[in-house]
Amino acid sequence: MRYLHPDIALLTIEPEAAPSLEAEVTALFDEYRGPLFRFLRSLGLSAADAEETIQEVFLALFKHLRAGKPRHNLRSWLFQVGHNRALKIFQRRPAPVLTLTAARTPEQQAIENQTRRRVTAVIQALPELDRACIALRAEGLRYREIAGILDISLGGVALALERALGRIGNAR
Amino acid sequence: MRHIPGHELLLEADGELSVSRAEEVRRHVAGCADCRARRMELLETLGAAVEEHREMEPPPIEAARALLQSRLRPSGGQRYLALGALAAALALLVLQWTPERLNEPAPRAALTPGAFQAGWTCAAETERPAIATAVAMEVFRKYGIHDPRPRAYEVDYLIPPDLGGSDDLRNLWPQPYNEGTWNARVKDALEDRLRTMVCGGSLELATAQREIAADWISAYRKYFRTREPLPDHVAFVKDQPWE
Repeated sequence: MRYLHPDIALLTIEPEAAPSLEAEVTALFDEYRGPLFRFLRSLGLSAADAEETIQEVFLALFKHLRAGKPRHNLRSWLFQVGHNRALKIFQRRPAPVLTLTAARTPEQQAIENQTRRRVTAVIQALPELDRACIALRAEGLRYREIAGILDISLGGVALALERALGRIGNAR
Repeated sequence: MRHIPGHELLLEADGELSVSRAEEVRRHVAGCADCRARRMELLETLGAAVEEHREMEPPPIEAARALLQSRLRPSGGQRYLALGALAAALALLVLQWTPERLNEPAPRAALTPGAFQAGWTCAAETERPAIATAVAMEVFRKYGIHDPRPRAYEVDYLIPPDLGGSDDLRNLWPQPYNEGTWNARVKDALEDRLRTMVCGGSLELATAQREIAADWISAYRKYFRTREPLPDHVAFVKDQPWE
């Protein structure tokens, strides 16, 4: 019988794990791509930047899981990594500042008089932190998770939501 | 007593306060028209903001998924797919075979579809009568549990009596009491939350009954907005286990 070095035996076994990890990451992608896309867009990323950021987030997830790192609350982990990457993009190129006082045609004004448009405009004009809190709450995260993702306190999340809803409420 | 500040009204509405503080807040709000109006306004605005947020739909997923998969797949990885599928099939067989299946945390729809009392309202006097031993044994028999260990199960009303559930056999099932993540204590916390929402006017009774009967774990995830049970709830005690 030929002698096999133990490392060689390990090498032949290890790749079996690869397909299942890939399938797991793909399943998480299917579940969280939509929520991450809306979150990153609400932070001010373009659709193209949001898509590319999401790809990077899931490649990072693949490495994270392959390295056997903690699997606890992967949903929060995905939003947190996405948020950090968005901040890096804004460091290179500042987030677009929305000007709400630009000249408008009467038609545009008629459209903007609708409640919905006013709500959109107010949300877009919120400070970044308040907007992020609204977006994460809208995606169904717990306040403790939102606090972890944005690196603020749980009370800070509730205050940001109250402040943001106050402004949106005034516009309705 | 001072009015409840907006952020605390939000924390209460989202189920984020401790059980005792939530109770204090609810008691104050029940007797304070200003706080009720403020709460209603905040929740309506929150609803509008959530709806607005949900309007942002991403482009179709197929191309993005294919790109990700091509980046994940190291060259030559395909050869091992067949082996992996075989391993997965074997793992599935083993899972189906283990006796742990008796401890599944979900009622079976064919055995326990749920049943409720017609015309029930929040004002009705609610009793949660203890289940007679003979009835409990009938429930265990239906589920093929021949010798239930003491304290291992609660014979549970699928739709709880304080949401109009009846004591019909179709509404009773054996729920593992302490074992597993999705145990009886976690379901009790959901029942309390749904009752608060229904009787506070923020959820239709019929919706609550339908959702808890169809899939209580999904309902828990939806109303507590979490994939896993909250730590507070795992330690929460309301009903006693069947002995």
